[in-house]
Amino acid sequence: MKITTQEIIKIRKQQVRYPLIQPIADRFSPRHFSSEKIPNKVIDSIFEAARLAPSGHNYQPWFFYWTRNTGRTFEKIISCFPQSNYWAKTASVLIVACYLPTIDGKRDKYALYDLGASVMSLILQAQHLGFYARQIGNCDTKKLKELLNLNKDHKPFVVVALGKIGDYSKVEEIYLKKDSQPNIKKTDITKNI
Amino acid sequence: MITTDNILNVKKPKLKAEIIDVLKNRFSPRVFSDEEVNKKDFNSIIEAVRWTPSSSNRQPWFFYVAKKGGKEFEKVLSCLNKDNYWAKNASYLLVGCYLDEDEKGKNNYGQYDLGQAVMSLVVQAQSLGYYTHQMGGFNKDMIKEVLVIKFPVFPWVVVAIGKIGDYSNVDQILIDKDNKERKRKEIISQKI
Ligand SMILES: Cc1cc2nc3c(=O)[nH]c(=O)nc-3n(C[C@H](O)[C@H](O)[C@H](O)COP(=O)(O)O)c2cc1C
Ligand SMILES: Cc1cc2nc3c(=O)[nH]c(=O)nc-3n(C[C@H](O)[C@H](O)[C@H](O)COP(=O)(O)O)c2cc1C
Repeated sequence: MKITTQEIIKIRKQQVRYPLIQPIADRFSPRHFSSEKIPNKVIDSIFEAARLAPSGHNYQPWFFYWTRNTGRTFEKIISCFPQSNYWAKTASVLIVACYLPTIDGKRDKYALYDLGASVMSLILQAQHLGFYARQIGNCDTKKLKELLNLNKDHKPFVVVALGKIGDYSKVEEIYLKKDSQPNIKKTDITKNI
Repeated sequence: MITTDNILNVKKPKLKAEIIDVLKNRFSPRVFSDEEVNKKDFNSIIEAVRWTPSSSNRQPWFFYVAKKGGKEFEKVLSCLNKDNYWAKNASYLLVGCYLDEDEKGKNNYGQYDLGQAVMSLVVQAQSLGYYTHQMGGFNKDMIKEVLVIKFPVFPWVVVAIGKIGDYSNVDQILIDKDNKERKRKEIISQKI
């Protein structure tokens, strides 16, 4: 099987029914990145987008640790993944997205929800600048916390792999198989009342 | 006198880096106009939810849609905390729910993924000129009862959507609340 990156992009978004803004229309989660360097300016923009996300009581219960694919930290993060997430080795940047479960000693009920909103903002900003993301929940977060020496109040929840989309004519067969399928989306997600 | 333009100005964030207009312009107002969200735009707003990423593509979200003037709009309003009374002027109230379980079993990403989905919706709405204001301040047991929402569906936020309204003639209490900048933490990331 041989498929170009353009064809993958088309397959993944073929069921869009109504007009969407560009970053939402373009976004999907590839398993193949180009590994090229992401400019500092882009990094600044994506965290700025994350920073401005709305949150319950404006608590902003999020924190992000990030690394480029050039050092030991990158290897450490990868070592917390099961083999099924080794595709992340081609990412240019890995971001450990953490939530802050408590504020002033009290539990923040909306911490996970708000982290989701913040990561979504980050990803849409990245997508707007031409960078793709795929999130990873399947990760040994206990090990991650130890290896990276994270602040004890920060709970790692997902790792975001980020980069330019890779050249699918050179991807490993297993990822090509997975990524060349349309991802079925539910059609029934609302009820008028 | 405070005008809507004054508020829009106060809400402009001081940016450390360039971001897309929809994120820059977005904020959560407490004053909505009477103008309706048109059907076409509403379809796009919901479409944005569909394309949200989710753990194992489980899409653990569901939205009850109450339109102003519709049957259950008042019922949704009656579940809100008193200080969210301004939501009565919104064009739509969406009750955003996460699914705590599906055919694959318990889902630990329900709340997180709903957060992403609502953010997508909010961004799409903003791009079409509508504002949104999310609310966690509502009686969850009451809304479950009133709308007959059953396990594994959990109502988690109510999202008010509409055009921004005219601040020059609203309660002073709303002006006091909204005539404030969008404060944020300075540092939310660290290179390691
Ligand atoms: C919270 C979360 C956790 C995820 N965990 C993984 C993961 O461990 N491995 C993986 O390959 N993809 C993971 N994904 C990616 C999803 O499978 C993907 O977003 C989903 O299939 C929808 O596809 P799309 O993003 O291309 O629309 C995760 C996504 C989210 C939102
Ligand atoms: C989960 C959640 C719950 C919220 N609950 C309420 C609420 O009950 N009443 C209210 O007026 N605002 C509520 N808000 C709005 C936040 O206070 C607002 O997003 C935050 O202060 C940041 O301001 P901005 O959205 O204008 O940038 C909520 C926001 C979120 C994300």
